[in-house]
Amino acid sequence: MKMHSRLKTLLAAMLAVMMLASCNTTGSGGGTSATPAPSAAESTGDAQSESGAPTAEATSTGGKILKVNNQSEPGYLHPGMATGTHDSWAIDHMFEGLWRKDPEGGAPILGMAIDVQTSEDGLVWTWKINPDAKWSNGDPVTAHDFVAAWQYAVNPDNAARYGTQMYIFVNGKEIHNGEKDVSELGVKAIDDTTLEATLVNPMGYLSDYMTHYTFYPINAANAEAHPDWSLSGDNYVSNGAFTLTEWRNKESLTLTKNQNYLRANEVKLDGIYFTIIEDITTTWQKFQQGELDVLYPLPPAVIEQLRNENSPLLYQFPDLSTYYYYLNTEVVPLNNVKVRKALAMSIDRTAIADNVMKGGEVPAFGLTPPGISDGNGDYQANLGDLFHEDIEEAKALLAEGLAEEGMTLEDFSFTILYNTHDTHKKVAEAIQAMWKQNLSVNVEMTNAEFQVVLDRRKAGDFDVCRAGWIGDYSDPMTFLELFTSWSDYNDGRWYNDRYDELILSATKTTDNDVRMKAFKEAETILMEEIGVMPIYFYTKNWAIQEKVTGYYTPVNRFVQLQFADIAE
Amino acid sequence: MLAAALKKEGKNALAKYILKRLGYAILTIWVVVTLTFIIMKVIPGNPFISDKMTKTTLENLMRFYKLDQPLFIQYLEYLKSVVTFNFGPSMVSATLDANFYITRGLPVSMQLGVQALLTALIFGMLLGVVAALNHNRWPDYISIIIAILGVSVPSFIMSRILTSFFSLKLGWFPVSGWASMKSTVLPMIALAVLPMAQITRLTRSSMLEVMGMDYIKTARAKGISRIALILRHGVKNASLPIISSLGTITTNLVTGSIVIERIFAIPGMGESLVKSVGNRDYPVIMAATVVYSIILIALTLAIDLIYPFIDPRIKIVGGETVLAEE
Repeated sequence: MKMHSRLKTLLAAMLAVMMLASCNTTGSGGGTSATPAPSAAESTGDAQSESGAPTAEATSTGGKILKVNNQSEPGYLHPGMATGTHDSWAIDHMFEGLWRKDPEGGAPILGMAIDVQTSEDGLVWTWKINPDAKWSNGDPVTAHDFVAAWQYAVNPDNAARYGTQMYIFVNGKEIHNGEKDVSELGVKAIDDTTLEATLVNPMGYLSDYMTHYTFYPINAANAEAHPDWSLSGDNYVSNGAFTLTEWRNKESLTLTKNQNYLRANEVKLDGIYFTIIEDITTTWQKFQQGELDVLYPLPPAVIEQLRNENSPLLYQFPDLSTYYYYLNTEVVPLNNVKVRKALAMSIDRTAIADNVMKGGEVPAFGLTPPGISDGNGDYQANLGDLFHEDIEEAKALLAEGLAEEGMTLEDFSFTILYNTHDTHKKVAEAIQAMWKQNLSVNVEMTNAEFQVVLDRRKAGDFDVCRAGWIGDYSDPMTFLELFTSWSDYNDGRWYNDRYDELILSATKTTDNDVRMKAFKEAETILMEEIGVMPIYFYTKNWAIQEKVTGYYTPVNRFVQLQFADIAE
Repeated sequence: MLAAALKKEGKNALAKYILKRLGYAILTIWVVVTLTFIIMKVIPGNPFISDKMTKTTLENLMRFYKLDQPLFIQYLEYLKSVVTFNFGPSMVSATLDANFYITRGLPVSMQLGVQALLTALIFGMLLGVVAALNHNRWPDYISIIIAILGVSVPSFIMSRILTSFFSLKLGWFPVSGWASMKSTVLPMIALAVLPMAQITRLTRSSMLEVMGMDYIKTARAKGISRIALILRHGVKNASLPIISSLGTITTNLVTGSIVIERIFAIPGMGESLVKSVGNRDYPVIMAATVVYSIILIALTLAIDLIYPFIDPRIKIVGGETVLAEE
């Protein structure tokens, strides 16, 4: 008896000790150790408490800190290694390239460069680096910093996911394949302030192309002294509006104003504080509590609600992306043009945008979204809709097409493949219903995990498959080159010689009018044959507190906050 | 009496038993690691797949992370990483290695789990005892209703309800994060609800059974106070089935914490495991699987060892736990 009660006490004591000992709440200590202390990540529903305010280090520079959320932990904060918006949104605020996007209007304007010259054939470019440009540690920004950054990105040993951006330079592709040495990349520093690069093809849109984060410079001397500089705030050096002062893994990023930034006098904020929270309902609750100033993405129901209320908190803008279905041209009868056209013409895109997506999406009757200039206005607006919806015509086309393939309507059945996601499911269900109703075809649906779907798409193991593309830069090439015969992304395997010819010709000339004409002809062919079935152009829906001003959104970028301000 | 029995053949038997169990544990972990490796390699996909991946970039990445080596070599590397407990770099991040998820995530998840377990045990047993002692009267009915609600309401709904009320409306607790003890309260409650309900029902039925036993009547006849009766004779014996179901309950806690961790943005191990599978982040998958296996095996072993101390009818003989002849 006595032993049992002693044992019970012992067990209870052990549990209590275990609990106290493992009392690990995130503290202000270093990134990976967890010590009990209140951290800046705390936010309460109690409006009177001052939590949600940043740590002492950030506030020592002043109080104007913008609070935003990075939806997932960055994999890399090195511009050469960044893979997507969870890396690049923060990076965009810490670095600036030779060109940058104009806060007024979004066109590419000079950034770190004060002058740029091109050779006659458009292949050799020379930049003069602004002698006043400095890194956050006071070092001057030099041409060597750009060379170092670009060599790093293309070096196959670094396995940078966007190393392919460097293919525009001579030897870029060969270096990436391991055929040539990194030092042979077609870029060199003539002197500290002069940078020269030789392109493989002339690129009139180079200024826009090179605003991409892979082309940001890195401080070469710092990178050599501290190879791990980009992994924490300790040795992080950047040349943009902010620099990284603290990275608490999977919790937060603290960006502090870079006093040495070339345009530091235009930067009103003292810092930006990124929490890292994945759940969009949780982040919406924090936004409602005032713990976040800028928020993306929003739960679909919230977008709908804000739109219906005409809420000033909702900031909607076009995204440079298209949502489409691949139709596998190697599967009978999808190889038949008339069949594909029938499928494309018999769905109601407006209904999908308004009733399924409800985020202000725009029905797409072409591949390239609005937002790209053709020298004479908007490319997409000038091109216009390249096909239209017409159920009767679609029915007729389908009958003809099937007959050509020796099939009847009863023989025709196929499956829509999409990656598991609520939105894709709803869209697929709507399209399935529309095809069944309008064409009387037998359509099934199946979904799988994203990786599995990508695998199948690449292998051609599908009938109809959901996909999309985000434009990398502001030129139709970023979309139209997807459907060339040499593209890695032509999963529907649609090939057309004239299309190839046109796209190739656009890479060889600097005459913008000639290029745009080629693009328009090519895209017309693509839509005449429905080499891909576009559905809608994406929009982005953000929530921004009314007191935040001075933000701007260049096409295909997240909201930029370098020059933002918080009204008191 | 058990102590005496142990002293004679006990110490030997106990040692033999523990050794045998450790042997099985190592074997189990080896099987788990091998199966995980096979499954990881068989399912389609890889850590680097994305809409914008090109063939050359993929080759560079596979080479960088040594995924282009023959499968058998990769298998041996994994075994080595398990034995040295150093699982290598995460394949989707420059800063994090697989061990980070353990060193940072495990204490957090364990704290959450232990707090939830204690909450569930204390309140569950309390409710269960109250219910049993007031059999078929209103406290009993209320306990049953609470138990049924607890089992039926999914944890993510419970989380939202708790947050809406206690965070947004009343402002007592944070919406998310793991910054202070206050942050742990809502997730702890959300996670404890299901096991608490299970423990309530178990305690209630077990208590009812025990209170009807002869030795209870004997003890009461002997004049033992009501409190001593309930605690020393009733609860102690009624807790046996709870201890044996602790294994299942803890497993539920471990898997349930995945959802809770995500909703409350808690940097624990649960959500890392799920994400790493989706990312095909092999080192992290391996690390998480091994750690969870060790936890569950250790737990089962601990429970089996505690049992003879709590239930005098069971003792360890010849490397087995046996029910002694009465």
